[in-house]
Amino acid sequence: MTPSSGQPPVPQPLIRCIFERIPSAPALLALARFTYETGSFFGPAAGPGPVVFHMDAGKLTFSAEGSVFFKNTAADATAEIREVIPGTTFDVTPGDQLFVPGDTPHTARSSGTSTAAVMGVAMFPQVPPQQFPPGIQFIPLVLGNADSLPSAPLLVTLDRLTFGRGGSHARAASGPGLVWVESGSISGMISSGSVQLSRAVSAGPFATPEQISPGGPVTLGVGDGLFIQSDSVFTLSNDSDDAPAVIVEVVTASDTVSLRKSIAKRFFYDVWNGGNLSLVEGLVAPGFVQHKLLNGQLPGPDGLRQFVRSWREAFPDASISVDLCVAEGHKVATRWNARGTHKQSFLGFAPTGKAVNISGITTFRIDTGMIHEAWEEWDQAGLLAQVGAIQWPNQ
Amino acid sequence: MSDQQLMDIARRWFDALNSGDINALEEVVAYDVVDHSGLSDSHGYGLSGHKKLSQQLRNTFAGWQSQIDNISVKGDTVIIDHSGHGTVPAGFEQAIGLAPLTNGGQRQADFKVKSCVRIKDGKIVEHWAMEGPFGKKSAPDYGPTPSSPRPTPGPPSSTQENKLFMQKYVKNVIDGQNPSLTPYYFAPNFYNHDRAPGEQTGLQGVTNFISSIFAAFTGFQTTIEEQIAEDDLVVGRWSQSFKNTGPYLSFPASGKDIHIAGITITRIRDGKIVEEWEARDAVALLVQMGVVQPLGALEGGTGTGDRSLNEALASRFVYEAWNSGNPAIIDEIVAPDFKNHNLLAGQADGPAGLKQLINAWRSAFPDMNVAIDLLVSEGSKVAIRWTLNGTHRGTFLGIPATGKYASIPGMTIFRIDGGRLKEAWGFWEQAGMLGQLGVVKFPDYPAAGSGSVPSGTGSGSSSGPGSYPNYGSGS
Repeated sequence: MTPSSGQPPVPQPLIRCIFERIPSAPALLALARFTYETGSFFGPAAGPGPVVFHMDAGKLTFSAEGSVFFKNTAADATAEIREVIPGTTFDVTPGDQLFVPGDTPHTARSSGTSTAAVMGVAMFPQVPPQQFPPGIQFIPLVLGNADSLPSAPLLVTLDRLTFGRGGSHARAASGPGLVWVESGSISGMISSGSVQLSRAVSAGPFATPEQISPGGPVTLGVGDGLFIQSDSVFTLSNDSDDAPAVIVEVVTASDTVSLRKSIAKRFFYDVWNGGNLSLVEGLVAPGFVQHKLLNGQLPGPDGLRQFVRSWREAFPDASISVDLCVAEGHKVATRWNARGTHKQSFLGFAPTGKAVNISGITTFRIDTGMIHEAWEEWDQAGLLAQVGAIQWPNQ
Repeated sequence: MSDQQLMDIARRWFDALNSGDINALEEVVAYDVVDHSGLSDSHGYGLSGHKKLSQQLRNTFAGWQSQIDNISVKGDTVIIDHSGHGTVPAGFEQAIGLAPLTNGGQRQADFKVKSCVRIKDGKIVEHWAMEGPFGKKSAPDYGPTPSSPRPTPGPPSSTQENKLFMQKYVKNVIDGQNPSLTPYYFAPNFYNHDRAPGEQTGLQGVTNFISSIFAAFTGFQTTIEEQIAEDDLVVGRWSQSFKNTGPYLSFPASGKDIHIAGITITRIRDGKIVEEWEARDAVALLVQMGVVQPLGALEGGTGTGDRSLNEALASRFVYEAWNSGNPAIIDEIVAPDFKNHNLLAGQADGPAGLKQLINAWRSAFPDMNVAIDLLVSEGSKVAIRWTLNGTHRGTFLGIPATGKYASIPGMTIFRIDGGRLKEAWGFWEQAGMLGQLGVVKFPDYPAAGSGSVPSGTGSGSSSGPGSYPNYGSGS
C-alpha cells in the first residue's frame, strides 16, 4: 500500500520485542541480515547480548538451551509472543519473530528447500567475531555504538516504512535507533542529538561513518543507513520525485508507563484526529479485541478502522483531543472529547448539519508497544440529544 | 459451594464477632479481605484491619449483643439481618448516624443491621454493611447526616488506598442506596465534568442527584470490573444492575430490570472526591426502559471491500437480531425455509425457532451482550466464533435464575443462499455454562481410582455422582 502525497509513511511492523536485560553503554546496536543455505547449521553458540529477528524466507529448525520468545504466525496471524521451554526444537517460518536473550546457547539448521533469510536487531557489548559456518552469510546493514542507553526493559521495534512523495515523519526516542534505505531515496534532518551516516558505496557499515551535524539535511540512497544516538530528534522525508521510498527503521525506548501513554495518544491524535487509518497497523496488534462493539461494528482492528472511518465521514471536520490520561502498568485510560459537524449519516441518523461535542473514556491494554485490548464508553445519549434525535423531557 | 456451606461460613463469622473471640475470625476471613464498613482507614487493610475493627466495635459498645433475624444467599454473597443492643459511648453518636446526646452521658441503643459478606474459596473476601458504616440505627431514632466525618485528613493517600476508597463509596452510597453518606466521600466544592441532565455541581448537587436517582431506580448491584490508579486519579470500569421503580426524567416507571456499564475517573485529594469524569451507557438505560430505540448499525461494515456480503449478513444476525434483540431483522435476513441443524429440545425450526431462541437468551440474560470474536468465510459458508456475556436473571433451559454472571463461547456456521441465511450448524459451551452458573461442579482433578464425572450440586437436584442434574427440556 502506497500512501498518498504528503501523508505519513505506511508502517509494516516486523518486530515488536522487549529486551529485559541489555548490555551497559557503550554498546553496539546493529541491523543485519543472515542467509542460511539449505542444510547449513549454526551453533551451538550464544550471542553476548539480546538478538531479535524477523523471518523473511525459508525455514530454520531452532533449539535453545535457555528460554527464547517466539511469535509463531504460521498457524495464526494474530499469535502473541510465547516463551519456548528450553530444549524444545521448533520451526521458524516466514512472518515469525524470534527473540533470543543474551548468553543463550542455541542452534539453527536451515531445513527448508530454499535458502533461509532473516532480518534482525542485536545489542552487543562490542563488535562480535565475524566468523560463521559454511553456507551462512552475515550481511550487516547499519550499526553504531550507543554512547548511552536508557534503562531496561527496552522496547525494540522494527518497521518497514513506505513514504509517498512528500511524506515525512519525525521521531524522538529515549534509546538509540537505526535507519536503512531499501529503495528510493530519503532525506534526513537532525533537530537535536547525534546521528552518523554510513554509505553503501563505502566499505560497508564497519567503515568509519560520517558524523552529521544538526540542521543540515542529508540525502540517503539505497543501502545507506543512519545510526541515531539516544534522545536524538530527527525527521525523515521523501523529497524526491521518484515515489515511493522504502526504509527499515529500528526504534528503541525504555518500556515505561509514559511510553504506553504516548501510544494511546498516538492512536487518538494520529489515527483519529489525523485520519491516517494506515497507521493502525503500527499501533494495534492483529489480535486486538474491542470488548464492546457497536451495533454492526466488525471485530478486531477492522472494526477500529470502520468506526474511525464512519465517524470522520459523518463529521468531516472531526477533531479529537485527549483531556486526561491515567495509566497503571499495562492499562492506560484516556478521557477524550470529539467535535464535528454532522454532515453524513451516522449510526442510522440522517445528517442534521448540527455541531456536536461528545466525550468518552477508553481503556487500553498496551503491551510490547502495541494496543491489544480496548474497553470504551462514550456519551451516546449526548450525541442523540445534540443531533436532536431525542429530547430530554422536563424534570 | 452450596448455599448451606456459604451460610455456615457467614454464621461462624457472626459467632466470632458476637462472642468476642476475634481470633476465630482468622478461620473464615481471607487474608486480603476488603472491609467496606470501616469508620476510618486507621484500622489498616485486610484481615488484620478487619480484626482491629471488630475488636474496636466490641470495645466501644459495652454489652454488645446481637442475634441473627434472617440469613439469605444471593450468588456468592450472604446477607445477615441481625439486631441487638449495646451501650453507645459519648461522642460516638454522630459517627453512627445518631442524634448527639445533649447531656453528654451514655445511652443504651438498639440496632438493626444488614451485614453482607462475599465468600470465595471458603473464605470471606469482602464485608460491608448495607446501610453504611456500622449499619443504620433502627427507626425511629434515626440521626442526621454526619456533618464532618473524618475530621483529620491523613497523609496523601496511596493509589491502593484510593482504589479501596472508591470501592467503599460504591458499596456504601450506591449499592447501599444511602445518599446521606455523601459527605464522607465528596469535597464540598466537588465538580462533575459530566453531569447528568438536571445535576448541579458541588456536594449538595451530587447528593441531590443521587437521591433523585434512588427515587427512580432501586436494588443497585455494582461490579467494579477493573480499577486503574495513578497519582490522585482512580479509573473504575463498572457494570451495574438495578430496577426502574419510579419515574425518570418524566418517563414513567417501567418496572424493568436494567443493566448498564460505564467508566468513571475520580480525583481524590485529602480523602475526598474533588473531581469526576464519567462515560456511561445512558442509551442502553433508556432502551431497556423502552423509551428510545437502539442505535442503528455503524456504517461501513459492508461495501468497503474488506468483508463480503455473506459475512455482513451473518454479522447482522449476531449484532442486530441477537445482540440488539430486533426480531424484525430475522424476517429480513433469514430464509423462510431456514434449516437449523442443531435444535435445542422444544425449539421450532425455521425463522420462528430463531426468534424463540433469541427471546429465550434475552429474557434469561437481560443484560446480555454477544460479540463476534472471529469470523471466517469460504464460498457460501460463514463461520462465527462468538462470546455471550450476561447475568443469569431468568429461567434458561429449565435452570432457574442464579444471578451469576457467565461468559459463554460458541460457534455457528451459516450457509447463505440468495442473500439470506439458509442453514445453520451451531455448538456452544453448554457444560461451561453449567459450571459458571454453579449447576454443575467440575472437580479440580480427576479423583484417583474413580471416574472424573461431574456431580450435580445445585438447583435442588438430588442427582448423584455420575449424572448431570435434570436441567433439560420438559421441566
